[in-house]
Amino acid sequence: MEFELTWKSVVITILLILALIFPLFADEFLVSILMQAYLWAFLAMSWDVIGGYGGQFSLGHAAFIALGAYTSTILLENYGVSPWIGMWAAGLVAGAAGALVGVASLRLRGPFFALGTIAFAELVKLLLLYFKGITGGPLGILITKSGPEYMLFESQAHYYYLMFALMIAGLLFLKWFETSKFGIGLVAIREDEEAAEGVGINVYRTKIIGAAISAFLTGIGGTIYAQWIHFIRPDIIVKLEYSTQIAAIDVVGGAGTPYGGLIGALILVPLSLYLNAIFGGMIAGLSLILYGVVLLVVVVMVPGGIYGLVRRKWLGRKKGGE
Amino acid sequence: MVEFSAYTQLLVSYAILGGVYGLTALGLSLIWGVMKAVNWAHGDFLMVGMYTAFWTVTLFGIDPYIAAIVAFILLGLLGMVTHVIAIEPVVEKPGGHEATLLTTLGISVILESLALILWSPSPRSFQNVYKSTYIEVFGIRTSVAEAIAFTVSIVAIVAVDQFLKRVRLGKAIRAVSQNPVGARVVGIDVPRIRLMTFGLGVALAGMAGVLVATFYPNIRPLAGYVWDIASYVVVIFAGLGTIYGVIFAGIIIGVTEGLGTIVFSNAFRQILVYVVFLTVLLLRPQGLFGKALRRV
Repeated sequence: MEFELTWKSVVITILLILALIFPLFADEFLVSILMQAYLWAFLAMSWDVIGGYGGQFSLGHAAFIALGAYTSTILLENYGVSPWIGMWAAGLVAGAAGALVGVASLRLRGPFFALGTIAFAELVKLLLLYFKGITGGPLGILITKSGPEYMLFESQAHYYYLMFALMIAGLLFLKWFETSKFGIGLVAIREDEEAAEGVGINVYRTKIIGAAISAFLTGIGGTIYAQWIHFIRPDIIVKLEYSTQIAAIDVVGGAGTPYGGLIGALILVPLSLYLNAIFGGMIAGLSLILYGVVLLVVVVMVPGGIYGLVRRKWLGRKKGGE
Repeated sequence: MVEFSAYTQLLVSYAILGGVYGLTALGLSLIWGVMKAVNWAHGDFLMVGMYTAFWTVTLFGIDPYIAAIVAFILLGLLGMVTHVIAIEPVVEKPGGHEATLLTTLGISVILESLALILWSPSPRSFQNVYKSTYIEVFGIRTSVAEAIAFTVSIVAIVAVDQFLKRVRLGKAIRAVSQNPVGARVVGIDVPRIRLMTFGLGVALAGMAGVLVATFYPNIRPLAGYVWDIASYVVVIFAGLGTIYGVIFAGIIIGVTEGLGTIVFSNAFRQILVYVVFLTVLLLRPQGLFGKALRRV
């Protein structure tokens, strides 16, 4: 046991060091790919709170990215509030919207909930387009400020470290969350709502808070995403593809586990970006086909995701989740 | 008076569109009713139906309504293949309903990308006499293509209902939908029924695609998306698993869109639809015409 612990910590330390020195020897393109993988990993981990641990299959998380991105960007461009502060406001706005989705989850089950969240995200997109005065409508908002105090950096390497820190924070949060009283309560509700209620868990409160936490984190991710692309517009930020990609990454990696989001993102994001870079110019769409195939194959062949498979096969432990 | 008739014209156009929404939603509703699967690629099958119309009409110069039969058969087969790959392996597992959402999402991505590679993103359309001929009833003008699309939608919905009530296979489909375990006990081959139902649902989407293509100017790889959302709105509105509900719900959604355009603005139209949709979903999750919802 002691040996395994040491072995594990050595591997983790090596991986951490490799990740930290990666931008020093890799080219900008590779750095950018890994950076985006971290961002999506964080978003997938945020989704995991309600989607994996809570078992509420949301397909509307792009709405929270958008609410976060718009909140901090409007604060930045109209009031000069730095996104380092604005991201907390972004989280709160997204979290409040998440609480609404949590209320919906009390009435809607399974696919009904999923479809409701899709409609919710579409509604958010339409409202962002409609209220042109605040959001810039279809033209969006260009971020004109620059400098690290505004979370705007010159090189991809800086963003790399930002996303890395974000991803690590997400990972540590989930590790804490899954053993917290609240997290255990949420999992109990996922497994059997009536039984959870029976042992004194407040289903109503837990579901709403769970959805709010998930949306809060996603909103912060939205701010950071906006700061990275310097530009937000409803049709490029509230995409259904984003909602589904977040869920797909987590499910492929292993939903309801701290590492699922990271594993899924490290596989799917580089795959799609790399294929896009190779084939994008020639055959638009080829990268997406492989993406679709990977999604299909993993969901059909590997229930529990890749982390679940790894745990079963190599670590010989019982499958968690499901 | 001029304004009034213009409004009536608009509402009728949207009601007709709503009827076609009903047909697109019918396949989804069937698939849901029988196997509780969410077919996220439904709009993409519709898109393939549109291209089937485009190619059969432009390559062979035959009537678009014969293309509807071609699409029905072709998409029926494609639906069965999809079922074997994406639905049957997961549908009975725990969490299978959500899994079908993801596997069909994979299918959706694959279909859209293939269409992009094969047919490029630029929109196409084909000329047909039905689109350019108009009929006028009580001062309301509509193209023959739209009138036929609406009529065929209603006929198809009645036909599916009769099929489910009278034909042996249809009865078996109903049995599986009502009680899969009981159906298996009395000797119904449940996986086979699921396969047939999925094939039928997709075939109906293909047919709807052809009907849409006869009057809709934009045949493009991502065209399914709009219809996808519309069909889901209709299906939930009607109550998943209802047959006649979809046509009423389709028309209601169509008219709501029309009213939204008149009272507010074109931009507000869709907002109104989603607000109505979410309200119905939250207040009456079983849909307007559905019976009490079984817990999923």
